[in-house]
Amino acid sequence: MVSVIINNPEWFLRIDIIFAAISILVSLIISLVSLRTWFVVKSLRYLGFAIAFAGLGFSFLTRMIANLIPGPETLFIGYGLHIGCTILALLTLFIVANKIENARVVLLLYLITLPLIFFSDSYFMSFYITTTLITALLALTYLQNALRVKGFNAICVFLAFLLLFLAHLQFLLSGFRGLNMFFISASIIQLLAFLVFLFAIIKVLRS
Amino acid sequence: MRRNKQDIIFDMLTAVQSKGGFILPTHLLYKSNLSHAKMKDYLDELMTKNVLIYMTDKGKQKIKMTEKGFKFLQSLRKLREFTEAFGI
Repeated sequence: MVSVIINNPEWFLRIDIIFAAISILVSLIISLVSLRTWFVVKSLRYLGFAIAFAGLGFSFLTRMIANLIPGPETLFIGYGLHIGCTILALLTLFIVANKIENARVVLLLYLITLPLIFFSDSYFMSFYITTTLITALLALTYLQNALRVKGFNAICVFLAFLLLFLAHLQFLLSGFRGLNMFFISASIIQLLAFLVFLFAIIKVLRS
Repeated sequence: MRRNKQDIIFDMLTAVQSKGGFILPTHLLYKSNLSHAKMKDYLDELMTKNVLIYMTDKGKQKIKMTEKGFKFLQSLRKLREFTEAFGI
């Protein structure tokens, strides 16, 4: 059974909506660039990457709608979709970034992760433990990529994933009693991560 | 590391660009590190798409990059930058 616990303070809800809108925009831009590349190269990796960022954008949209239209049902559906889309998007990013091509391994990753969260007693802890782990591994993958490529844009992308990991770690910490102010710093760091993504994609498009 | 089709075309076009947009077929063969048969296949495709054309300069046959070719190379450069930066 999914239980929804929201740790953001009331006054922060409107700011959070603006943060989410910026993240949606950045996710959409990256998704569209990847989709356009997929049309040229026809490699499924680009399609996967496009779907992953579109999924991240959609996850922010559902959370934004849940915050805009308060109510137990919208909160439940909105945050439920937010969890599902975020996990699917981050897992897809992990699969693409690590070039995992074995269909059974991919299926196993999806099948293990999603039900574990939806059938856990605390959506909050299981969701943020999972996203913290995935973003930590993504940051590690992109560190290796930056060291291999040695390009400024690759370093920016690594930095963005590192910030995303730090944000999810703080989201996790905000679930503990007395630490809910971490939710605000986590949201700011997450926004910074998406701004670094935006900077990197603008640099790529202007290269 | 094994090059894919996109890498090979990028290397070929970069070789032509580095020579100012004109290159002798033998130089292209050497710079693109391909067999004669493979290079001919890629050249045929790039000629069909009007990215490269044959021209004669001082009695020698050369390969020239078209305006479309320069734009295509620029797009390929962006694509590579995106692929490398985002580790795809």
